Amino acid sequence: MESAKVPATVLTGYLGAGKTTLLNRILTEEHGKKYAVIVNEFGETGIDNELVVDSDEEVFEMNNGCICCTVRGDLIRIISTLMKQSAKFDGMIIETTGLADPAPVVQTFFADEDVSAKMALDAIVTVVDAKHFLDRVDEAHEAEEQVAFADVILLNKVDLVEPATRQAVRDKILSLNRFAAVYETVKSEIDLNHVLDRGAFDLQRLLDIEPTLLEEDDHEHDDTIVSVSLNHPDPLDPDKFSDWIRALIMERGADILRSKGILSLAGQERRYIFQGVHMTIDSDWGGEWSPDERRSSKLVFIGRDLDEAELTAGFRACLATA
Amino acid sequence: MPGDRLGGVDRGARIVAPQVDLSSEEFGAYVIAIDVNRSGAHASIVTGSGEAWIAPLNGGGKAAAVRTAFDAAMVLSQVPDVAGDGFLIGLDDGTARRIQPDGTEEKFTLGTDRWVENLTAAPSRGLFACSLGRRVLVVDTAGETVARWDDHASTPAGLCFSPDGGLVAVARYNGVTVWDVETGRQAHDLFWRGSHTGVSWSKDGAFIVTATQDRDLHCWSVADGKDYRMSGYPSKIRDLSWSWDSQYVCASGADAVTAWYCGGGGPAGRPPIELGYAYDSTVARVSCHPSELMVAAGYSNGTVLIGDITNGEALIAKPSGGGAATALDWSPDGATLVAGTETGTAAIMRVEPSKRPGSVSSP
Repeated sequence: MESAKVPATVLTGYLGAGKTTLLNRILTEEHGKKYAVIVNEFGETGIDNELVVDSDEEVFEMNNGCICCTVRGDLIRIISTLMKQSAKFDGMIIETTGLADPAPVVQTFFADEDVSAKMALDAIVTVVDAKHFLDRVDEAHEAEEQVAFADVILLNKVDLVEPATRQAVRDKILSLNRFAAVYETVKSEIDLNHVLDRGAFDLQRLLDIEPTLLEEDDHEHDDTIVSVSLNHPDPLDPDKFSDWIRALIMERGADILRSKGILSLAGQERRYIFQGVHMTIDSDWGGEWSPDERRSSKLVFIGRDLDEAELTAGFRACLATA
Repeated sequence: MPGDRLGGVDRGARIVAPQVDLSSEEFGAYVIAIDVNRSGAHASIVTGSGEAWIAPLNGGGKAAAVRTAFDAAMVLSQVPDVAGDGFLIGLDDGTARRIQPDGTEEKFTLGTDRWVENLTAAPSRGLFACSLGRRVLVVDTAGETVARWDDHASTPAGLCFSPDGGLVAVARYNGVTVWDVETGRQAHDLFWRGSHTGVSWSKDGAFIVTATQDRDLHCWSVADGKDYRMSGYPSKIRDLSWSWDSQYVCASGADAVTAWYCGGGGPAGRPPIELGYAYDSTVARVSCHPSELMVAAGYSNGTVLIGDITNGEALIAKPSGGGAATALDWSPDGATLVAGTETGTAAIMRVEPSKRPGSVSSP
């Protein structure tokens, strides 16, 4: 009875960045796959697909008003209905409005039992308009959040900007999110293997955390959203780590947009992997460390007003030797 | 064979010899709804392949059923017509269709390109209500709109009429709006934070109960607005059903049917009666008997059970299989129970009144 879950790709980006162009590329390319598409800005550009559902973004708080537990009620309703239909699809693309916070979409895939039973979040893909991003990011925090949440970023319309602007946009993106794969594109043209079937939320595919290398002191330090990465070769004490991460998520869950970790726990032959969005954390055992491998624990946090020194101190206090 | 396997339902379910004459057939697609018409002569099975099958209850099964396909549209909702043999079906193209056992079909255009969801009927007034996006419509049997409310706080996830059909309760984000059909005005605004995913009005009109995204039930006394929260469910509550005398409201969402006593002042101060405990399965659908204190329950493993609310005894009406139960209904006379599952099984169960669970002894 257990069948593979249908992957869902979340497509975000400011109005006019090139989301719909990317969406149409996905739908028209010869891949022999059928996609269900949920759109919110219907009608501006025609979308050529059999299964397009127009939806109002309905963000609902759960647990009596916890802001970290918002879900998209419309997605729950639509996905539950589509899953009853005999007409099957290979994947789903969820296009959000330009002003949407990606968190409720992501949390829907973890918090709702109907959605999580049938679907798996594949990746958050954010399309950035190279020409207008630096203006947008100052005036609207949604533009910042969409980049901070992303697994894949299309830096689009690079043909329309001078090299200096292109570099400035890249730097800005890296200062917000050092862990996403960034691709420069023109008219959203990209090898779809970079966009689809990424498994960015699949714990077992979270094999390594490789931050995009950044020249030291090259990034701005005045951003409210920052990426922090922590690592240490010594094993962690499981209880200490559990207490620390729980407390951290409880206290700072609203500010921590995304977190990921691959951990080496004392007395364990297997990796411990986790990832989270705000207060929602998903974790599992990964593969065994091989004998010739250098064990180490790596964690990343992307969030608002994160204090790197404080996080480092908290993390180091979890070392088994601490 | 009926009754010979528990299908995971054991403790609490007292096993008795088969009391149910079961016939079960495959319809090849998710059973979105199965309902018995007001005349009690037919069941209509609507499926995820966009079809409706109207089968006579007095035998013949699928071979005797009349099939209707709806232009490849998605079928979203169904309710028995307010009288007679027909059914009303809501589609994804803004229309509803009335279908009859002889295959005739009428089309009602209710909106453009919107899903017609949450169909419900007020037989005594000859009215239907449905939602299209955030709009709620009340239409008469000719499909003419008699009342309309355009802007709810969210897309309604549940609708029901008051027992006399004069009011419509709309489950939405942060509570329930109750509309007066005649005046078009809001009669009650029932507040409780969060998303409400289903609503049911007690048959005596005294209480409105909702299911929530937070896996709770919420109950309001209509007369004074006093409210109650019933929590502790391990999974979503997909179905609610009031006993014929309005003494109990039964809910799915746990590993047993929960029946909350609402006689007297409401459900406060006592735990629910639990019946039909399943160790590896969850109650997915509930439907109370139309004239006795019995409840039918469909489980996530496909088992269908009939339980006596007064003493907790239960019997297996359909063994497990066919995936989760997705739809359940009694005929108006209470002699036939119909059930559907996610893999397309539709079961028709004859339940002899003299062999109700409370009146048989265990083997």
